[in-house]
Order: sequence, then structure tokens, then C-alpha cells
Amino acid sequence: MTKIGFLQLNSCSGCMFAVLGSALFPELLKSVDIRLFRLISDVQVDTDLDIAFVEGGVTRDEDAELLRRLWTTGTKIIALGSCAVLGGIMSQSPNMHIDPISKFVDLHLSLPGCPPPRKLLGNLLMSAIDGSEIALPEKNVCGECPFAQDQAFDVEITSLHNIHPPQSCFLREGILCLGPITRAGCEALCINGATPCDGCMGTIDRNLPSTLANFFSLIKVSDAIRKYAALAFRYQKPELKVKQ
Amino acid sequence: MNVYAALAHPLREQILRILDAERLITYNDLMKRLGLKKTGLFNYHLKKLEGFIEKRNGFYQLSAAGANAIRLMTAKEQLMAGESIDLSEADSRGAIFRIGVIVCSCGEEIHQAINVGELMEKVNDLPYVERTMVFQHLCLLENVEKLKAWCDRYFLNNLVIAACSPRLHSQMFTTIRMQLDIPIEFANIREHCAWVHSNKPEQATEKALLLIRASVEMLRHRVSIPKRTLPIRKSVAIIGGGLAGLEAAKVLAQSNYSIILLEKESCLGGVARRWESIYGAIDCGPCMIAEDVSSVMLSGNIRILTNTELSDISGTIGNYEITASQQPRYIDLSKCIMCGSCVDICPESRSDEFEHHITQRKLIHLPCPAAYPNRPVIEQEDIDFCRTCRKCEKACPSKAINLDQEPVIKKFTVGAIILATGAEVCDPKTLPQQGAIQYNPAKDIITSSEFERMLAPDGPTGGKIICPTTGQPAQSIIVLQCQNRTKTCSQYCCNVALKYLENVEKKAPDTSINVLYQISLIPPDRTTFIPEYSHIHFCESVKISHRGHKRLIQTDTNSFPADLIVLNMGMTPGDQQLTLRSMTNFSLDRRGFIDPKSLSSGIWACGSITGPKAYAKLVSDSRDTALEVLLLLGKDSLPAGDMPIQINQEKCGLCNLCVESCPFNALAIIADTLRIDTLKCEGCGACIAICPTGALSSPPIQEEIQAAMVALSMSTTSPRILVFSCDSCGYPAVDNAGIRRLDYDPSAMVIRLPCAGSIDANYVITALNLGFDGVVVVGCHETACRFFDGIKKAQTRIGVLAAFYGDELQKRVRVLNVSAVEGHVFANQVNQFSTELKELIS
Repeated sequence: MTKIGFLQLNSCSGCMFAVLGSALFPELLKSVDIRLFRLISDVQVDTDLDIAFVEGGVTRDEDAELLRRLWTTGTKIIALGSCAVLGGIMSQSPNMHIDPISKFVDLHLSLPGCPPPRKLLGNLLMSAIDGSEIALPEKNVCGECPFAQDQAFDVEITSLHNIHPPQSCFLREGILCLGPITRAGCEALCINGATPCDGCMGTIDRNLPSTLANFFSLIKVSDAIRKYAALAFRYQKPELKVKQ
Repeated sequence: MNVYAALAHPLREQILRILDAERLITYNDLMKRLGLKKTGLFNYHLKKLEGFIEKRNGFYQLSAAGANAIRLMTAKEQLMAGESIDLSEADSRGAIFRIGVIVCSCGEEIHQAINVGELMEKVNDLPYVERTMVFQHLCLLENVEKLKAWCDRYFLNNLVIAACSPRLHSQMFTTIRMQLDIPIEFANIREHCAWVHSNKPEQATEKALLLIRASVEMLRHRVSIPKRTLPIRKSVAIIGGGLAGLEAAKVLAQSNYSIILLEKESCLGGVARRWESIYGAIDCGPCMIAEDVSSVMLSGNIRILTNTELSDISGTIGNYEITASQQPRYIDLSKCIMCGSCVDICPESRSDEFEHHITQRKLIHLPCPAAYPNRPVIEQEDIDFCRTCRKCEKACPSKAINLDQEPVIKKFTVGAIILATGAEVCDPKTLPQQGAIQYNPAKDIITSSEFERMLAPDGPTGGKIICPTTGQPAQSIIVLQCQNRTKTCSQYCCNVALKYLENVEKKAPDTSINVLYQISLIPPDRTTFIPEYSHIHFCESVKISHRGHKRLIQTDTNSFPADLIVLNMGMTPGDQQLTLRSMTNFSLDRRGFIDPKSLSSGIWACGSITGPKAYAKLVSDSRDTALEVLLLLGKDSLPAGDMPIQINQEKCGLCNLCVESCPFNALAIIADTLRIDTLKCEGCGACIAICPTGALSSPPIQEEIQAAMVALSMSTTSPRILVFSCDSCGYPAVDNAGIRRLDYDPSAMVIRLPCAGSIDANYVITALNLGFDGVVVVGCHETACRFFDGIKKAQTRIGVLAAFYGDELQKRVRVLNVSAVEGHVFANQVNQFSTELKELIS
């Protein structure tokens, strides 16, 4: 049986709870040997794993060492959730620096999302069971959004939040929605829940600051929102490497 | 071409291997190498390899397919030996690059600043450069032949011309491009190098080398777009049989092309059916329609379908497939003899919509007086009753009535489409309410349409001008102008007022008539100027008042008797615009009418669909449109636009960002698919920069820029400055600095882009990551941007990046707005920037 481990680095356990709540978790329990899952078991064996699901980003040297040890011994590393894939919410911290795990190891698979969307997570667990491939959607959230054909790009964006159930595309109501620049896969969960998309699945084609800059050059964004730098670094903080 | 069939014979495999090793070999040499004595066998195998090998000037070489076959063989060998294969190679398209580099020394100009000998040595060492040559004056016409011969001789399939600015001799270079038919890239080593760095020969030479290297790299990443042509069918569909459609049909009918005219109503003529007369023209509306129709019907190549409404458009210019649904008329046009028995026997009546519900008509009826086709019709809403009655069906002597007719779907494929569905006369109930005089026939306040029917001899009043409430002749008439839902000029209503003055004077000389313009209602875009005249008055306000039994209109300066008040209605966009918009792409002008320039190629619009017009304008508009269509149909095919834009529908989330970004309406989402009208695309690149998923991409633009950046990043100057310049104002400004011999820091190297709006924010990040110390974006002044808002987009993007990254980025990126003659601005700014960067990096 495949030996699986669930690791948590700097994380909130949200992805782990998503795994527990997944419809495929019972199947997983039956089909694989879960050797490490600290949330539900006191067993602390983190060696000799075929596959390691890693939640959370890297903030300490010990975490980076653990990852490299697993990787060099042949464990396939799967990055689970936006923190592992992109860096995550801790990117906003002024005190701490957090890295996505891809900075330290090669990834077998990765699934962003905060938490990862239900269906894609199910597919991912399935792939651990039977080795099937998973593919992340390459469209943006507009492709799944109920208000997709109702966009308006000429309304000034003055707000980040929504107060009442949306009648149309958030952009038409002057509320910033990052749906157009965010990877699909969540079936527009937040938008269907009356909240504009905040980009937890990450961008699709280019880094976030560039994609956001391109996006903002087409829509009208109020100065206040434009200067709100935390917006760009909600789930990731790409570094600008400038040769000194 | 089956590669396995080609490789099946060991001799053929050997031929390909020899060609791969030797690159070029003659027939005889190849035969010798194979050890063959007989030409018969050799020729047989050469024939089998057709497509994999090419012969030029007596030499055989591998084609692109042949090179791929070699790769296949190599991969197979590796796999069979148990190795894993890596298919990612430098030129993974399997193309063979034989790049030639021409350096034009421009007489002595280049030599003065650049060591040409040293440059040529280094250029020769560049990978993929096969041969180089120096010309003294490439721009001389005789050198074009020399150049062509040189390229042919050495089988060069790509060319870099390092010379003066490509903008200078654009005609010459176009000739070279057309004659040589191979990809050419230009490196500007004169205006951008020799002329501006003459005091730094070492750096100038290095910069020239880098610019040439960048061009070489761009060619290596160039994807050649196969030239497509669009065949043009020799037919046109005119949608709408009103005056505009008929006028266009008149012109088109004189050609040999076939015409299909679709009319939604059961008779032709549109709005004009109600016009009693048209100002300045002799005929009345119905006569004009009859005149147009007869001259159109004289040519045999037109089909007119009434009761037929457009339901779908698909396809592209030259091959549009239109679908229309034809509602049943229930009367066979060819059998009906217009005896009128059906109308006589019909037991039911309705109010006549054509006569504004003033009179009644039978269920089976003539659509309007002087209708074309002059045959009865039954409306859809009545057919259920008629099918229970059937009296007319039995009464018809020629069995022309068939009450069981069903709607029919019709499909046509045409080369061009003219939309002429017109506009609507404003509904008086939609007029602005405050303080205005309201439409109310019960108070003898009617619209111009109703007044037209009153003037018509075959109208409901028999041509007598009466007050509808009393039926008595009207002693006094007031015409109120500029009656419209929105404050835009409908262009024909002033003429209508003049027409009424003439008409009433003739028909009822004792009736007083006055035309009133209320100044606050006159729209700012009025086109006609009517001077104050004896019966034409301008005033601030109008109000109804009474003197005894007589009604008056009281203005701020005067009062006029007003037995009958006519509201001269303007025109509003028709409802059918919404349905049209679901079939084809267009945008509306600020008045709400279709902007004809925004329509897809091959689709035109004429008549009031693009805005209400006076009659003379409508005729010339329709004729112009017909002539443009004739110009198109006269061609057998059109070259499809060659913009290298790829669309990957799998990645497209239909977010509409690209549609919004295009200044030319070339992108549209139709039936959940993103489509590009290549003939409208002007290649500004705005869409590629904005697409967040990479669904819309242009490898030639994106990969080439990346390749150029990498090549230029090998500069050894300090600082290293990358300049992105737009083609409209930025690049000419840099040229201008060259022409004026203004010295600036050679560390600044230029990449040319169609528009600043195509500068993806990612290019800036990539440039800094590649090691450039600074990035400059040179574009037009905001008000002068050729692609409307390209430079603004670039400025916004850099502003946003600076807001996120802070000082780190802010200090390393500059945006310059220049005009083509502001070379000094460019030179000064570059020098200043260079000084600042030097401090920053020290």
C-alpha cells in the first residue's frame, strides 16, 4: 500500500480539515497507509513516505530541512493549499518571511486554494490512491462565474467588500473582484456566496504583480485601492530580484 | 506525407542522414555517396522522399519535415537503447536557421563610430549566422538584386539587416521583403548607435553587436504564419427593405452579383410607407417605394423575401451564413389575383395598426395602401381564429389561401451583408414629461406620423385636415419641433416642418399653420439651420391656454391659435438592435445608434440604423455602402490579416478583458467563443498584454521580445538600461536623437513595440530580473496616442508596480512621453537616468 504522510508547516490546518471533510477521505483511509497525520493521530513517523501532502509555507530552517530530507529520499511532495503553493496569508506579515515550498524542493503536484476547492481536492486524493494525473483548470474564474456575461469595466472601483447579494458582476457595482486574474476550479464559490474573489487560487500565466498591473490598466481603480499594497500580497509576495 | 513510409527503406533513411550531415549536396555527389550506379532506382527513392527534401539551385537539402524525420529517427534510437529522451531543444520546431546578416556601412557613416571589421568578426561567430556581408549603400535599387542573389546562393532563409532606421527607407525595405519573401529583422545601428555614440567607439561597437544579436534571436523565435486567403462569394444580403435597403439594392442590382433582400414586415418601404410626401422630392413615400422596387426588380438577380426576419449570422467576410425565419403570409403570392373577395367575406375586424388604430380593417387585409407586394396578409396573432372560420379560404376563386402554412427556416451563404433595418419614430408616450405638451388624440394633439396619414388622399380622412375629436376641418395648426426621447437631432424633422408649410398652403390655404421651436429642446448637435421666417418661430416656453372655446398656444412672446397640435417626432434606435447584437458584434455611438465603423469586416450598415438622416443623406449613404460592397465583391479573394495572434479556447474564461481593450473592435465573444476579426486587427498588442490566462497570445511578439531582452542583457556596460519604445512616437523620437547627433549613454538599448499598450507589466519585471539596472518606456503624449490609450495603460501599469514594490522599482523605471521630433528629450532623460542609476548601484 502507498505510504502517505500529511505534513503541516506554517499553516492554519484549514487544508487538513478540508482533506478530512472530503468525500474521498474514507476511500483514502481504506486504500493507503497513512503514516503521518498529526491532526488526528499521535504517530510521529515522518520517514519512508511515498507521498507527502504538505500544508503551509516555509518560515523556519527546520521546515526547509524536513522538506529536503523527504525529497532527497524519494518522497513525492505535493503542495496543498495556497500557503504551500504560493506562500499564503502569512505573506502579509511585516515581521516574518514565508516561502512557498517549491523554493526548496521539486513538486510532484500542487493544488492552490484557501482551502483547495472541493472537487479538485477530491481529484488530488484520488491521484494519491490510483496514481491518476490531475490537471488544474487554465481558465480564469470568469469562466465559472454566474455573472460572467454581465461584466462592465468602466465603473470606478471604490470598494473591496460587498454588502448585499450581488445582482450583477461585482466590477459593474464598483467592487473589486479578482476573478478575471485568478485561476478557476472553485466553481466561483465565494462569488456565489456574495463575496468578490480575492485570488486564493493564484494567477494562471504570469506573476501576480504583473497580472494585477495589467488588469488595473484596463479598469478604473480609485487611488485608495491602488495604493493598498496588501491587496497584491494577500496570498503571495513575489520578490523583485534586482541586481545590486 | 507518411514519415514511416518515407523511412521504411534503408536507402531513404540513408539519404536523409547524409543530407542532415552534409546540409547541401548535389545529385551526383549524393548518388556517389550512396554507392548507386543506376539513376532509375535513385530517382524512385527521391520521389518517395518528396516533402522531406527540397532542391534549390541544383543542391538538395532537408525540408522542415525532413529535419523532423531525423529527430524522430534519433529519438527512436535513443528509446530503443533504453535511454530517456529529451525533446526540448533550442529550436524545438525543428526548423533550420540559416541566417544571413547584412551590415550597411552607409558609406562612411557607420565606420566613423563603429569598428566594422571587428563587428563582422564577432557577428560571424554568432550562433546560427551562416554568412555576413557588408554593403556600402544598401538603399541603392541595384543592391536589391544583389541581395536576393546572395540569399539564394547561400540558401539563407532569414535575414538581419543592420543599417539605418527601418522607418527611413520603408518603401525600399518593403520591396526587399516582397522580393525575398523571407523573414527580415532590422537592427538600427545608425540612428540608434553610430550617430549617437561617436565618442565611445568601443561601446558603440559592442552595442551594434548586441542589437544584431537581438535581431538574430528574434528571428530564431519567429513563427511564420501561413498566408491565408478568404474567398469572396459574389452575393450580398440586404437586411431591411425600407428606403435605405432599396436604394442600396438599386445600385447593387446593376451589377452581376446576386442579391437577397429580407424584409421583416409583409410589405416593403418601412417608415416611408406613411410619408405622404418627402420634402424636396417629387414623389410621395409610397410612389418612391414603388419606383425603387420596380427598378430593382428589372434586374433578374434579386430575391425579395417579405415576412422574413434575420435570426442568425455566422461566418466571416466573403462567406457569411445567414439564417432567417419566414413567417407564413397564408396567401400564395403567385396565385392571388387581388379580387378582394377574401376581404369582403371576412367576418372579423381589428383596429388598423397602420392607420394608428383610427380605423378598422379585416383580419385578412392589405398591409397598407399601395403595398408592395400588393397582396393580403393575415397576422400571426389572428391565425388561430381564422383556422376555425376559413370563410376566406373557401371564397378565394384561385385557391390562393392556405391557412395551414407553417413558418420556414431559410439559410443563405453570401459574401457581404448590409444591415438596413432602420430606426423607429419616437413613441410619444416616451417623451419627457415635465411641463411639456403631452400626446393626446382625444384633445387633438397628434404625432407627425398621424398627420402624414391625414394629408394622404388615401388616408383615413380622405386627405382632409380635420380635428380628430370633432371631424371638422382644422382652422389652425401648430407644429411643435424637436420632439424626441433624447436630446439628439433627427436631421429630417426641420424638412418635415417645411413640407407641412408647403402642403397646408396648397391643400388648405385658409388654414393657419405655425411651426414652433422651443429653444431648450433644440439639441446641441442640430444639423439644419432654419431662419426665423413668417410661419417659423423660436420661443422659450410653450403653454396651452384658451380664449373662450378656442385653444391657443401661448409662448413667452406670442400666442397662436391651435385647433390641431402636431408633435413632430424624432427617431430613436429600433428594438431590433438588441437582437442584432446577439448575432454580430458592434458598438453604439453616444446617441445609441450603431457605429458603422465598429461592425465586423464584410458587414455594413446604412440608413437610419446608424442614425436618423434627411432623405438626400440617406440616398448618398446607401449608395456609398453599395459601392463599398461592390468593391469587395469584385475581388475573388482577400488576404486574411496576418496578425500572429493565437487563441486557445481551453484557457479562455470569456472574461471580456481583451474585447474591452481592443481599440478596433476586432475581438468579440460570439456563441461562447472568442473570435478575432483579422482584417480589423491593427496589431497594437493591447489584448495580449491584458489576457490574464494566456488564452490570447502571440508567440512572435512575446517570445521574440523575451529573446531580444535576453540577448541585450549580455551588455557589459554599467548601468544597463533597456528601452521599450512604441512605434508611433517613441521610436521616431529615438531616431530623431540620432539625426540630430545628440550624444547619450550607449548603455540604453531599444526594443521596438507596436504600442506602449502592448508592454506587459511582466516585461518590466523580467527585464529587472535579467539584470538590467533600469527600464525606460518611451511612448506618445497622452493625447496623441495612435492607439487611443496605449501610453496611458503603460503608465498605469508601471504606477501599480511602483505602488507594490516601492522605491526598489520606482527608482528603476521611467516613462517618457515624447513626440517624434523630441529626440533631445529622449537623449537628456537617458543621460539623467544613467547618472541616477550609477549612483544607485554604486
